[in-house]
Formats: sequence, structure tokens, C-alpha cells
Amino acid sequence: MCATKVLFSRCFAVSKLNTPILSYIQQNSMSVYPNYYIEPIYRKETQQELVKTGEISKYSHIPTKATLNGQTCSDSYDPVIALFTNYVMRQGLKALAREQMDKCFENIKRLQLEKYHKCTTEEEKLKIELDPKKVFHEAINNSKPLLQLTGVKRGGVRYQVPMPITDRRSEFIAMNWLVDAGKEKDRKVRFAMQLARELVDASNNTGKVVKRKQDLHRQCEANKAFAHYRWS
Amino acid sequence: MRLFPPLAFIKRSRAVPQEPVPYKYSVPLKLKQGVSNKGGKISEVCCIHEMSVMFSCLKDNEFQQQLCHKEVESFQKCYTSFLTDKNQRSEREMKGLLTPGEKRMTSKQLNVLLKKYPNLE
Amino acid sequence: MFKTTADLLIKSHPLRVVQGRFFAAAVAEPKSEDRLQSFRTFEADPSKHNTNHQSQFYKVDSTDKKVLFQYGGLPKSFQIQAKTFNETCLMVRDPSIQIINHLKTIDYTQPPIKFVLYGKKGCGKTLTLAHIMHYAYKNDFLIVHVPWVGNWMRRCKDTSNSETKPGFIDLNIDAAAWLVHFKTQNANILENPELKTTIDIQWNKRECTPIGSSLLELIDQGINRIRFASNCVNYLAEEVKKLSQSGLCRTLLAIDGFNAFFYPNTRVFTEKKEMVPPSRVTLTEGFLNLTKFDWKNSVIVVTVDEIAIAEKDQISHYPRYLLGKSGFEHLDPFLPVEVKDYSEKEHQSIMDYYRERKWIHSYPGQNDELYFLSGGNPFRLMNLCNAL
Repeated sequence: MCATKVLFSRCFAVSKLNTPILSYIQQNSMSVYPNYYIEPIYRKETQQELVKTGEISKYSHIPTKATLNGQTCSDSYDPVIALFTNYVMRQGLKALAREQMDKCFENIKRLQLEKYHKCTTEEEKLKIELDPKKVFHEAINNSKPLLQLTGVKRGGVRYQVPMPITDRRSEFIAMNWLVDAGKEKDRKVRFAMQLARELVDASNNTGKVVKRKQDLHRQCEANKAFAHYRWS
Repeated sequence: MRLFPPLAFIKRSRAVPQEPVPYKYSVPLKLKQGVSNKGGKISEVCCIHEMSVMFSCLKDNEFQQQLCHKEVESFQKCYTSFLTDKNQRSEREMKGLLTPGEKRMTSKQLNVLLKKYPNLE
Repeated sequence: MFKTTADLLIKSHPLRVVQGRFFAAAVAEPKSEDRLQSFRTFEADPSKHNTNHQSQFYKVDSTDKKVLFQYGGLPKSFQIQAKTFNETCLMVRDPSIQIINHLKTIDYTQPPIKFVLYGKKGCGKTLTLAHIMHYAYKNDFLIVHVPWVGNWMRRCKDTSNSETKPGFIDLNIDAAAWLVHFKTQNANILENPELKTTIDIQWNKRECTPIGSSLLELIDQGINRIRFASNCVNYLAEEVKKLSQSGLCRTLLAIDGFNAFFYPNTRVFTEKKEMVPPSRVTLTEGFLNLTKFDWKNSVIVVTVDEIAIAEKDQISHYPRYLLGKSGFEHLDPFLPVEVKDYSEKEHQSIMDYYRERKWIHSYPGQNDELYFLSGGNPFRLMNLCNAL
């Protein structure tokens, strides 16, 4: 026991010597860029706004990082979809994730158009959303939970306490639930197809993800008495 | 030989305190120019009322969110305002600013105040 | 700048263009219904297609489609699109108009003219062939159509040693399937009782198709007795030549992926797992026979495709390379017809068509962006638009 203590103190002494270098690296978080480089501004609208307000002169002498491959100024770029593609990605295979998203949108279109062509009245036709990106956004909105459960330990017991949730975290949870739902499938069904079906269902407020959200709400409601336990 | 009895009355026991007892100083008798930063953390409990209102509405509508639009909005508003308040408070603390007429001040803010107007020596 | 944004708005809202044209028509001269939508024509008969209809879409009648393409002839991706759009529309493009015009004017008393459609991957060779076949169908041609030679050489269903020719391999299931395809395509023409066999065909010791029996009987024999299907195809090829020569029917020979008959590597294997070159497959003989010059009253339209051969040898899309020395000598002299990428007008047309079918949703500058990204290549454009 004493020996380990001595060893530990010796290690601590050594690391103390190295801390100046470590803290410098930690400042930059292992980035290839020095810390004064700013994030790229790649959207035309943002650039035009800066020109209008005159703030662009501030940026004229500051070095910027290069944009990532997925960040484009094209009008077909959607930051929410780009974020979702990252959640779909596994092992850093971005190209594969992107392919799956493209196929997923294609499948959404085919599913919706099939329904559209089967409709007889104009009213029914108007109800069907054919734009896959709109279906996607609607699905995310319908899957966002309103609260989250956190574990709070009181008197040796861990209680599930409901608490409010920020919009960003809610979106994160919704997206992960959708990806999970896409993966829960029959072996013969493709991920892109399953995800397409889930997105269409969620946009219509049905399906697995919306049910999961509602179950969470139910549990929160059941545990509402514990709400006072939050850090008090 | 006749001196022994008075010596016998000298007791070899612990010292009897003399009145008044002289106080021994280990630390000067002055208040610290600050407040302890331990404890007194502002509890994160907020929006409980809005939450319960929202729950009652959701229960009535069988957890269909679209029908509880107003309650949900008020709950989310409460939380976002709480967060912005919290951020503003922490920003002010960092800068050392104080608002006059504040009911509850954190220990950091009290320390700032005391630095400005220290206790008299 | 205002002008260009206005242009962008007009480009991305074809309805406005239509209305504009309609009003213009009301004010100017009365234009036919044909021109109401700039990308679509109501002229469904390929015989009447000319340069006026260039880059416009015409709808293929569903009965025609069923007869012609039920067993192949349209690319799979195109079939899926047709199902989603609830209609089969082909674009009227320059190569097909050229060939159709030739078909109307050539001298059928001479040996057949050979048209070779070539082009890069995904340019539309198969669909051009489909358009020409539709014209032929409407004009009562006898259509001898091989949907995709690659299916035989690289994805054959079943192999067996030929009984009649030592050292040759039969692809009997594929041959029988092709006979069914031939029968459906030419159902109308085969009802003609004058189409009869000219020789006695002995299948084996017991079975025989006597001289003078109808062509339908010959085909049915091949379909029912799969063992003799490959031989049946070869006999049928010979009979078709003789019937065309005698003037009883006018033939269109349409083969997609003709260069696969000359590519030395196939995925046809004997029982001993040895590779069989196309020259030792019985089916090849029949179709090489048909592409000779020794008959008349017929036309040959053939495509040469990179995809019909192995990936490692997909270097060039030009006919001389794809046909090789033997293929070139066999087919020479022929008329090469290039199927090019989309022109600006054709690109505009297909974008309007996709929007009308509610397949893609616009944003400003979409047309130009997609034209740049796809390089005008129709297949690549289709894949890009799938995701939008």
C-alpha cells in the first residue's frame, strides 16, 4: 500500500514535469490547425449577410479551415440531413452512409408515389407528401421527445426522474431512435428500405419510433412524483 | 519540621484556572473578507408546475402531442427561459457584475460585493 | 441579375412555361395539341416521329409494352421507373429518328443494312433499340429480338452438352425462354398460315417436324421439348431467313449486346468446369447466321455494349474494339450510329418530365447543377435524381 503510494506520487511528479506540453496539445485538441483558425463559412446566404452588414471585413485577414467534403454551398444541402447521415454512419464509412441515405430517399419517393397513384380523389392526393426531405423533417419533428429520464440516486436507490430536455438533445435522441428502428429488421430487408418505411410512418405519427417516444412520455408521467429529486 | 503541613496543602494536581481565563489566539479575531464557496448551490429544480400541467393534458389526450400544443409550448418556454437566466447569471458572475436589488446572490457574487465594500477592521 | 433570377424562376416552374406557350398559341397561330407541353408529345406512333419531336417524350401503349417487352428489352432500372411513374415514356432522340427514317426509305430487295448502335455506358442504346422495335411492331415487321446476350454468356441458367454437335454446349432453358419471347412478340404475324417450314426437321429417332408445318408448331416444339430448344432456335433462324427472302414477311433483327458473341471469355462452363467460348455455344450459330448478308427484305439493328463483357476489359466503347477482329470481319460493312449523352435541350426535357411526374422537387439552379454533375450522361442523371 505504501509502495504503491510512493509509485503514484513518483508518476505524478513525472507528469507534472510534462504538463506544459500536454496542456498545449489539449488546447488544440490534436487538430492540424492552430487554434486561431476559424470555421469555414460555406453557405452563400451567410456570406451575403456578412457582406450586407459589413462584417465580412473582419474575416478578410483571418485564416479559415478547409471545408469538409460534405459541406457544400449547393441548394440541395440540408444541415439536418447531413447530421442524420453522420448518425447513420458506422466505422467512419461516410460514402456508404451517404449512399444509404440516397437510397432511403428514393424508397420514400417510390412508396409515396405508389400511394399517390392509387388515390382516386384530389383531396387524398394532396394529403400525401411526395418530397422525401419534407417527409424526413416531419418524421424528426414527430419523434422528438419532450422530456428525458435521468437516474438520481437517493438513499441507495436509483430513481428515474423526468426532467426537461434541450432541443438539440431531443433531436439527437429522435435521430438515434430512427436509426435504431431502421436496423431492427428482417435479414432480407435492406436498411435503406426499412429506414424509408420508418420515416414515412413517423411522418404520419405512427410506427415504432413515435410509439417509443410515447412510451417514454408515459414513463415520465408515471414518475412525475420524483421530479423534486433533481439535485435538491 | 513544623513546615511540612503547609507544604502538604500544595496539591500536585492539575492547574486550577484563574479568573478571568486568558484567551489564547491561534487566528486573529477578524471576519474573513469573503464567504465560503461550499454549498448553497442553486437547485436545478424548475418548471415543475408546467410539467405537471403538461402531463395532465397528455394523459387526457392519450399522449397525442399535437392536441397539447399550448401546454407543451409553455413547458418548453419555461425551460429555455430558465436556461437563458442561468447562462446570464453565470456570465455575470464570470465578469463580476452585480445587479442591484437581487434577492439571492451566489457565494461568488457575495465575494465580489465584499471586496468592494469590505468589513471594517 | 434580375433577368437571370427571372430565368431561374421560369426554368424551375414548367407550368408557367406551359401557360405562357398556351397564351402565345391563342394569340399567334393555332398549334396542335401535340405542342401543349414542351417535353411531351401525344404522337404515340413511332412511324410519325420526326425531328419536330426531338427531345420529347411519347407514351408507349401498355398493350404494346406487354407484347414487346414482357420477357426483356427494357433495362431493369427503367422498368422500376416506369412502374413508379405509372407510365412508360420513351424520349424521341436523334439516333432512333435517323434509323427509323432509314427504315422507311431503304431498298428491301438488297441484302440487309446493319446498324450498329454504340455509345458510352448509360447513354441510352437499349432504349433507342426499344424505340426502333416499337416502330417495327407498328409496321408489322417480324421481330427477332435478343434482349441481352450477356444473360446467355454471363448468366446462363443451365448448360448441357449438345446431342447433335459434339463439343458444343446447349443453353436450353435460355433458348426455350427466348422462343417464348419470340412467340409473344410476333403473335400477330405468326398467325399467318403462309409461314411454313421449308425442310424436314428430325429431332431424334422418333420426333420429327415435317415440311410445310407452320412456324408456330416449330416454336411450340422447342418450348415443349426443352432438350431440343437450342437446335430449334437455329432451325428457326434459318427458316426466318428463307421466309424473308421469299417476301412473306419483313424482318427486323434486333440484338442488344452483340459483342458478347465475340468476346473470348464467358461464364458458361462445362461439367468439367472448363470455360466455353461463344463459338462453341449452339445459340451463337443461329444469330451469327442471321447477321450475314445472304438474305433480303430485312434490317439488322445491333448494339455493342461495354457492359456485355468482363469489367477488366471494359476499356473502350467503340465497335472496332468491342467486336474484336472476328466480330468486325463478320459484321463489316455496317453503319455505326452513335448514341450520345444528353444535349442541353434533352436535359431540359427530362428534368421537366421528372418534375411533372413529381419525381424531383426543384430548387433554384437545379438544372444546371445536375447537368454539370452528370456530365449529360442519362444513367448518371437518373441516379442523381433518385436521391433528390
